[in-house]
Amino acid sequence: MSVNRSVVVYGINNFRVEKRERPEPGFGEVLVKIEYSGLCPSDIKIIRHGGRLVRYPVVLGHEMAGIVEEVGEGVKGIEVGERVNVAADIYCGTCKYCRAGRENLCERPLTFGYNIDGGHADYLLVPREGVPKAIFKVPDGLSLEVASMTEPVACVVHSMNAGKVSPWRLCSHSRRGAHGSPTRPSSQDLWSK
Amino acid sequence: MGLLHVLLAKIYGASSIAVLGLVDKKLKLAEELGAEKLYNRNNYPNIEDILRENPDGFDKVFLTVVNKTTLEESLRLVKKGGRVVIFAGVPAHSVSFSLDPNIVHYDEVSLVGSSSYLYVEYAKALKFVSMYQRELSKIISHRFNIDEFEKAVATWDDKENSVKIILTR
Repeated sequence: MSVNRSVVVYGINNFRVEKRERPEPGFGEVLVKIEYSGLCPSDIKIIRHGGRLVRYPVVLGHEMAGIVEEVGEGVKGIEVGERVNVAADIYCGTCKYCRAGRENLCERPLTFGYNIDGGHADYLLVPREGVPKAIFKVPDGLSLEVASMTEPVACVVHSMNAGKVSPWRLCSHSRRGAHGSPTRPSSQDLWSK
Repeated sequence: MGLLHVLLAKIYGASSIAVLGLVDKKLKLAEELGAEKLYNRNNYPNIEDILRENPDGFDKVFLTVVNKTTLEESLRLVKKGGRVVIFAGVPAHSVSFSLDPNIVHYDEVSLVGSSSYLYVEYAKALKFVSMYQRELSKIISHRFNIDEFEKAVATWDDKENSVKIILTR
């Protein structure tokens, strides 16, 4: 049996690192060996205040990157050994918000570290509802450590959109060579949704 | 999260970015990531002093710390026609604040929330993370093995020194 160290929260201000069994991926599921996970302020809130989505006991953590360890029967397009980032949320895809393209407001999300076991562990089991939509392949050249920061960056991308910060201003500034970002994007297709 | 807002605002084309904070170490990082104006609230306790230097106010205000003070100040900092984004989540019923509808009506100020992300935004974030790996690495202040989780939590409470904490295996 492989050791699966996991940060388990049992209730408010009640958590510990436990050695659990390594999960076995069933039909359609993917097992990821986590290399890095980020400590998020939300983790601290769950420990100290709980949350409406939280189901105890739960393994904490929703910012994570690692390597595919094993895939269950029926999984296609995801291979053992691939470097991946797993999104925090598995949106249902069928509720009125998901159908309206506002899946971040999903009525029935599965969220790692809240209502399903998360990434502050040696292994993360991605349920079939999240395969493959919540699994993102990490590009070559990107360290898994920095890749584990994708979730907070995604939240801030959403914040930029909520604030209607216009990317088109960057394009016009960049053409004039002023006020560019620290490293100019090489392709405008980044801005297309 | 304030630092990530600086980086993303820069990427998204903000011509000038101001950061209000309490910790010099984080404000210095914000400057490295592209913020031009830095206000340590220990030196600028009165919002009037910040408004005096920015008489038109700000087009967009992002709240990465949400409490009565920051909420009420944000509506004074935002300019006419601007947007205030409540980014940070707070426990239900834990914060209340006064909202003057006069500002919302006559100045057409929008107050909106931002929660989580769309998958298309996640994919875009992964591209940004790839492009700005060097900048993001600067934000990592501590690394702990997962066995040291309690130490990581204690370090998170040390606001003067902790920024992003990563758990290794």
